[in-house]
Amino acid sequence: MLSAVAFSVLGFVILVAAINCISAENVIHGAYWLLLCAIGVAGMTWFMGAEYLAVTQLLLYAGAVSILTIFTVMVTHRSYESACTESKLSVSAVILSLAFLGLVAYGIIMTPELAAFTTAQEPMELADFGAELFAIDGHAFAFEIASLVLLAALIAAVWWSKDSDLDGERIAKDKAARIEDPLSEHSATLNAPLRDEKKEQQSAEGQEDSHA
Amino acid sequence: MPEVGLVTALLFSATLFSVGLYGAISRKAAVSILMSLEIMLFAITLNLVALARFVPGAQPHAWFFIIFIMVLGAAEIAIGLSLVVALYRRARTSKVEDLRELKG
Repeated sequence: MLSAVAFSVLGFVILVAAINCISAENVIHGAYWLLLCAIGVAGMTWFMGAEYLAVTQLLLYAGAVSILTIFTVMVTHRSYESACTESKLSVSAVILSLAFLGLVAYGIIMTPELAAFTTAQEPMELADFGAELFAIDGHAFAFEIASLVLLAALIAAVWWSKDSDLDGERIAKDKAARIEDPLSEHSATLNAPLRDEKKEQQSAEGQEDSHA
Repeated sequence: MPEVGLVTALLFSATLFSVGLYGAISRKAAVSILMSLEIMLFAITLNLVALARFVPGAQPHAWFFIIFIMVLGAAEIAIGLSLVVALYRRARTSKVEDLRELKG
């Protein structure tokens, strides 16, 4: 079912999306390219006969992970400037990744056993897959461990991204400083209009005094 | 219509992996590095899907590996992104080159 045409089109889409994702200057553009890349990977998985995995990929990566990434970008990069990083071509990174690609490609091409696998196997029935997944003598234990890993990740993510004590302390300190001395340098930016008004008032009073 | 063999699929996923590797090494924003890691995970998934399709008898086990890689990838990206948020709260930056202190 995986014809050369479908493979080339999807492969082109995936590679272009991946390259644009890592070379995008704006992080949020990179997140959208990653979304396209995930959709392309799901399409290729579909054409390789693993429809269930393709749908899972689409739900998990194109749905959840992309939205999570975009939300994180929105939380951490408040201004346009902070979301943009220059994307210079790093020569050493290019050399390293090309060397990696060369090594792996050499290994793949130099293994004659791999070239013998050209006929596609019959795709597995989803019911058989489920029965195997939840069988006690199958992969039920690993499945439970995987759900525990997800639970641990959930708790860790909530723990790390909640309001830390440090944050609360800083806010309290800021507030106290502002109440104590509204014109201190600490709150200079916040109270800038206030200070200007006060100065104007003072100068106006001074002028009135000199008139008198 | 000619079929695509295992070698072509493996070479493609190796290419995708090295694109992700380049991004993980060269990018400076923490979120970009995480996205590069995602691309590397896509490559691994495609690799296993191709092996499941072409190698006889590999199918149930390869599918379980793919499912578990997806689970681990989701856990990794959730923790990674929450670390980026925590980092931003502490250091007010999300570029890894600005993080020079080891403590605090």
